[in-house]
Amino acid sequence: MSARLTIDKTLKLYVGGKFIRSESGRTMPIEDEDHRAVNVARGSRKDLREAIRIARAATGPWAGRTAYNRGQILYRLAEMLEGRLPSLSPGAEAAIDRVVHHAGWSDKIAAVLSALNPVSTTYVNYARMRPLGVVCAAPDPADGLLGLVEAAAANAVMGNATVLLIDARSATAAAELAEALATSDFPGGVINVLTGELAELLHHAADHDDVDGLYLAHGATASLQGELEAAGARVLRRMLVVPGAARPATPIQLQKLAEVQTVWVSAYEPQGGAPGY
Amino acid sequence: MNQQKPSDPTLKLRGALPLAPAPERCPAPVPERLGHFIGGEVVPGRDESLFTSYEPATGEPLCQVAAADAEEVDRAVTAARSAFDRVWGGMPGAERGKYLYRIARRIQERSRELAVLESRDNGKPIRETRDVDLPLVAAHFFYYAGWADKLDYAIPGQRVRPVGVAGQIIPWNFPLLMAAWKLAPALATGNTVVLKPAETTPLTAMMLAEILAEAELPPGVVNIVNGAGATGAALVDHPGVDKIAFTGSTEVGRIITRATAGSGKRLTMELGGKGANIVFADAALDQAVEGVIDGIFFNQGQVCCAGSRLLIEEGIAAAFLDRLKRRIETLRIGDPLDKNTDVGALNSVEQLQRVQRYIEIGRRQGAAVWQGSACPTPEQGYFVAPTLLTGVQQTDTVVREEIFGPVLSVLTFRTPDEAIRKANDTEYGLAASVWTEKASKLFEVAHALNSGVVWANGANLFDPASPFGGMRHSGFGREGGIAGLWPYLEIQ
Amino acid sequence: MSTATFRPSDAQQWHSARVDNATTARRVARARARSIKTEAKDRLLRLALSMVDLTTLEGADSPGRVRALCRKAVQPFAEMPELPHVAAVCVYPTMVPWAGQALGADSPVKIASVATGFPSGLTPLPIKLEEVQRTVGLGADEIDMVIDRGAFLSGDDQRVFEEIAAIKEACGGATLKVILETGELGTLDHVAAASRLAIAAGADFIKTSTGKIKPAATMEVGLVMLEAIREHFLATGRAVGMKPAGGIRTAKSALHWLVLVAETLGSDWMTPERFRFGASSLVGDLLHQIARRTDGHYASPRRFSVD
Repeated sequence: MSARLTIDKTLKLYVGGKFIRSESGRTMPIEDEDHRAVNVARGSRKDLREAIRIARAATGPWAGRTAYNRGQILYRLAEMLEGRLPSLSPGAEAAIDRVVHHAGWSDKIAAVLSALNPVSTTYVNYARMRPLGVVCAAPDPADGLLGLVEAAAANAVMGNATVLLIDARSATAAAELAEALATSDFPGGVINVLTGELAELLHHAADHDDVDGLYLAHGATASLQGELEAAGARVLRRMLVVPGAARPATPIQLQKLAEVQTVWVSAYEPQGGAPGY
Repeated sequence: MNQQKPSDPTLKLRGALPLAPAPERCPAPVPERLGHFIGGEVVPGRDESLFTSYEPATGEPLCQVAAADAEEVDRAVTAARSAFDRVWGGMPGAERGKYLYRIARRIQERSRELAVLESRDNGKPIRETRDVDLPLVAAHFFYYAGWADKLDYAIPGQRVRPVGVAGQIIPWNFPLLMAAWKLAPALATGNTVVLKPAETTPLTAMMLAEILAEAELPPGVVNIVNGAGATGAALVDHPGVDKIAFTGSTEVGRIITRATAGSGKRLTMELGGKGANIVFADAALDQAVEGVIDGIFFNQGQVCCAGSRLLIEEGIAAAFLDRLKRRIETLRIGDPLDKNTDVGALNSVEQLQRVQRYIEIGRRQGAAVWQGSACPTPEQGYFVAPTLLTGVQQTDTVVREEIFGPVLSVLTFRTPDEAIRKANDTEYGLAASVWTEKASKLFEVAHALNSGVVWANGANLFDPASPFGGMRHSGFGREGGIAGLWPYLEIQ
Repeated sequence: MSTATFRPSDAQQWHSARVDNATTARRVARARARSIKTEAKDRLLRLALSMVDLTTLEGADSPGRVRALCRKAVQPFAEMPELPHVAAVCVYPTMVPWAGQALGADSPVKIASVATGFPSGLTPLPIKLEEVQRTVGLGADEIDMVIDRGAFLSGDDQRVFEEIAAIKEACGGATLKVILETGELGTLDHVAAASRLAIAAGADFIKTSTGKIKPAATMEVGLVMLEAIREHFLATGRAVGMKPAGGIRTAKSALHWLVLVAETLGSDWMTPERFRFGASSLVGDLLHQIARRTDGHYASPRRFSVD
């Protein structure tokens, strides 16, 4: 009896909640864990441009949801990943737990990072965290699925829309995340997954002025950092470089995925001291 | 807009309050020559590097200033490094704090003298240097002094250490205040500093050097080098500098960002702005007028967070402009040292020409130009009367570019959404104001603005406890408040 | 002149005026920062003196006390006869004849009197009207009435308005100053609304306080009232006067008030026809500062008469 001919799957891009092929029509061959050849869509400059456009449209509605709701959606992603655990790459448990960790930050990080500032005048003054907007994130391929969910969840919890730029070598993990996202409650466009040649994708991202922030895992991007910083000068782009995904982003790292916005609100001028005392 | 009929009742505001000259008389001698402050010593600088600084109110020479070259900058950085390694970096926070408290007190004690020097050097009214700049300078040192021994609480869950040697480059619009904004957090967190004042306003920084010496701050903890762009570049490029903090134009901010790319130097950038001042029909209108005045004529509009775009709800636009013009007609323009001056001189002849060029561009693109004040604009010196540009649109140069002068572009809107869209229609994102008495709208609009600072029913308010800084092309990093510590700390 | 009529739609407009406290305080601080020196100070001190309603409103007031006050009103400081007389004396109704006698006929110093159940204003309207008519009949040139704050605060604008309108009519040719008693109004928004109401009802002047309640004439309150006067003038051409009263004791604070008037209403209000200070001890300090400017040294307060 001849062996069954297997069905090959091309791993597609995940943009705006849809799985799409690269507009370039190009793919990259990689080997999966079982040393089988897999074709991965090779995201192009145009694909990135489209993903950024879609991510931009997703920012307002995502940031406008309540923090509780964003936390629920993140936790739902963990549930979807957990359900697929048998089919995920080894070590996926840590990635799932990481999503749960960040889901819990959603309605608390503001309390840790915000401040009520005692200014010397009759104004109420507070510093709040405001999302950056659109962030292109390059996790370290060495971190696998954990690196992907760390980048995606840290940004999601701060209210950003993310375009994950993923080296084709991590395409399996990318597909695992994208498939979980597609069945989760994440609105399309909040987390987008582009696979391809990482240096090329980063170069295109740095060249795009509508990218508010770059999230870079040191291991993936160390050699490119100078070039990316220089390109970012044009728009004074925010850059967050993280060592890797071994530990979850700390509050001060999460802060760098947001803007401090200081609001002054005029208050009643009491006659003869503060009222109510 | 809104031509008045001759029969309309008119208030005789211009000239209603003739005042005698009221010059501030506190003596504040100007040194003939300024050098640098390196390793605790005042050094004269090189003779061949001298350039002239002018007094904006008269256009006359004020003093000679030496410009530091790369070699002098290197000496300053070396002094800072040595002070960091030997004394300052490892000093207990409580001790560092006490130095800052001393400096704050000494500034208070010499504040009037400093205010006079600042007004002469910068051209801004003594009312502002005396009532705004100097009190804030002292307050900044007081505020960060108290942080020095509490840095374990600055970043949640982290142990911290100083970054090292900070190169700080400050602008001419608030010379001493910007020095304080830079120095106070850097010193409180245990960094040492090489500070470069702007080439047109070196006076108060050098007097601050005297105060630092009087406070017995260890030599080399703060070094001051004078000079222009080349001196700044030498500081930015110096491999011994761990961090650059810059306040100035977006253009120079980009140059510095490129120059330091890949170097591992940390950056804080406080750059330009094109702030919106949004006035809703349900605002407290007379106070909104006051806010517009404070927003654009404070420091002759030479403020990165100036409210240089006025957005008025269409239904009240004409009436609001009348109110605004009436108030402008009570503003006194002239001698910065006169206590009654509301609008002083622009800082330099270059700045004067830049502002005049923008007014001309506005006129060419179809703007109606209206200028007013309580008294005639002086002939001598770098003065521009408060200016309104009406009939302008979002596409006009004067609406898009930072003018950095007493020039207000007036636009209208119909709904809160339109106000937000227009306010956010800029590459900048530093500061904005919103005027409404409806609380729900106030918070909705304030939070929707792409702006690092939002004043709700206020304008141009500053406080050491309040973080200040921009989004997008207005830069990154914050000065003031707990957030102002973060750029000067490394995680251990 | 026909009596003003109350319209609910107007009332809505009076109450739509909004005031931001923090920025009002900043504006006032800017006025206070004006530095008034040399000739400007000489001129404004004399102007301030000419704007004073020299006031005595004590239960113990007597003909003798009023006679003393009137002498000072006409010639505040005998050493400097060139100084202006004050604008008016302000007394209780029963003291009006004594003031008339002391000042004489055709005196340039006006007689103002606090009628309408001063200082609470809680007397039935017919009695208030009677009091006003009688006081004018006794020779008062000006009537300082108080509004019914209880009615205003409980939303009965109509009652307040109609009282003012009726009293205005009862005044005949006398000038009507309407006291809002701002210290009892609680907010600057209320001050703005009450000012507009009083102006619409026919007030010739609006006045801050009776002097019996603290806080009295704060500059923040004054600015809001001046702004109401400005709006009414620009809309109708009718110029209403302003009178801060209570707590203005120093020449310096009087000068700050004049800055606010000049910068809000302009030179047409820099006259006793349109601006008054309700005060008693202020005159002493004005004289003190005038003498200081003239003599070049600082006099003892004992050089100036107590009353």
